[in-house]
Amino acid sequence: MKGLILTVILGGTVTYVNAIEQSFVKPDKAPIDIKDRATVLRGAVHFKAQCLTCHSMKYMRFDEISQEAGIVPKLMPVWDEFAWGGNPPPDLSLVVKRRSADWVYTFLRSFYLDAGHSTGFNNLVWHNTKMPNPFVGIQGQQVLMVPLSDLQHIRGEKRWSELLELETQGAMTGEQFDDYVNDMVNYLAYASDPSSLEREKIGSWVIGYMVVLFIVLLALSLSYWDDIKRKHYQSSDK
Amino acid sequence: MSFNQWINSRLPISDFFDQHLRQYYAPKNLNFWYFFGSLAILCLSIQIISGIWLLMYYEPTAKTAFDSIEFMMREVPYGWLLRYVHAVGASSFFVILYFHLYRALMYGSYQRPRELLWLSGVLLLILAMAEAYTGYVLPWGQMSYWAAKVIMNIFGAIPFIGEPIMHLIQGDYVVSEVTLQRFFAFHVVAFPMILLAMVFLHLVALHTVGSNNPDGIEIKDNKGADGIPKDGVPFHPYFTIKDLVAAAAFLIIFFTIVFYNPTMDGLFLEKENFIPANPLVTPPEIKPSWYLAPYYAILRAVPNQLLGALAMISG
Repeated sequence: MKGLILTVILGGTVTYVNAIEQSFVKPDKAPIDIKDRATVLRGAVHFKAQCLTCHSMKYMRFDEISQEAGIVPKLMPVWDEFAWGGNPPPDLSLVVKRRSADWVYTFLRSFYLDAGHSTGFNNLVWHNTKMPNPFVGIQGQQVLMVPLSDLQHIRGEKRWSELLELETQGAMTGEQFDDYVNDMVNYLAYASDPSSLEREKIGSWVIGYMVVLFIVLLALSLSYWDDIKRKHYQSSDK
Repeated sequence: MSFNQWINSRLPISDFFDQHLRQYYAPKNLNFWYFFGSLAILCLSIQIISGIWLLMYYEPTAKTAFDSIEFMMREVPYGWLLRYVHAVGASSFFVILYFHLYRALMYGSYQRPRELLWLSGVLLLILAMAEAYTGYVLPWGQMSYWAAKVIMNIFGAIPFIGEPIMHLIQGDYVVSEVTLQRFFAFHVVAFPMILLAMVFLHLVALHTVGSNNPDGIEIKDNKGADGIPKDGVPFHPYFTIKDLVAAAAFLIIFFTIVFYNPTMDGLFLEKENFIPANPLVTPPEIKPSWYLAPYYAILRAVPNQLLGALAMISG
């Protein structure tokens, strides 16, 4: 009986989590390059202007790029767990590690008007997200081209751009907006693992060293084993 | 009296070295599959050394565990390297162990006179799983927390005494900070000590019966006039150098992963574990690390929890 109750409770929770995380579209490939410092920095500046009001980056305390963009600990918002009706805006330091750059890149561009949703906008990547659309001014307003009920059947077969159209133009063109979001995702990708730049630089030296070591050891091993092989063939000749 | 003599008359290091390396004879036909024993020792050493450094910065409380790891990844010089080496090391250890196990099965290394060598190896595998599992809980991410809960429930499924045992291990009625601290103690003190003792016994058993070989012929049955097996080769220098070549080859692959894809796209470090543990939100899918996946699949395949756990253990 206890097992049954547990199953019902856990099963219920799982369905609930699935419901809030439902995605209808195939994610786009984010053309990010975290080695391009200029775009990462631009992304950090956009992040500070657009996201830092609600979202913290609490693990980015001393890195050069965040400091240069003005993302500093004292500006980061701190929410208690009951803020925003129990859904406080999450910290975004690890969002790309958790989701993937492609997911974030697609999510940020696929808001559409939905009068039935509490924030006035819904999202194709995260259905019923609690996050308000922060880009109405620069992207414009998008509307859904298919009935809401059809989305359930589309699941992952189409891209967001095939399902949404721009109703009112924002301050940026489509291309400018894509670049804007991509810079931001680039910064988030960098923030998820700032070691990656240093890592890849050191990596080639370490692996180069190991390859040389391997060759030297292999030559040494073959020369040692030459004795054994010679003796072996001498004894089998007899 | 030379320095060496002075030492050796009090502590026979040279004799030990001679007995277990220079005059320890291994079959000369050992092939590729015989590299994995020494590679497993290499992996274990990597884990212990990187683990000591991680321990200097890790804080085992529910509030600070997750943050202390992110602090290590960003603000401790080369902290990211130690953490990734430890995480990739864990998965590599299991790759090596599974190859080692496969070799033993393939060449019948479990047969007489190597039964205890095999059994101690099986115990080592179980210990390695316990060590990996307790370590997996320490980052206190979502998957750490829920994996801990699933495994604790398996203990809870034991009839009559299950619940008290579960409470004893987790130290609380639910998986909590107390559990984290217990697992921390198991992971850094209890299991590594038992593991090292078992490795020692495994090696004693190996050096008593000697290595098997692909042909399955006992080299000790065919000795020359000097008492040395005719098909044997001194372990040092012939196999030490061969094992060093294998170690270098292994480290090339190991460091390629550490430096270029340390999470292996979610296989070595799961995406879900980049969210701090939240006892109120169940992840959409709870799945163990890849190296425990087959056992978990057996557990999940049987609807009854107790029967599933029995099937898993017997598997």
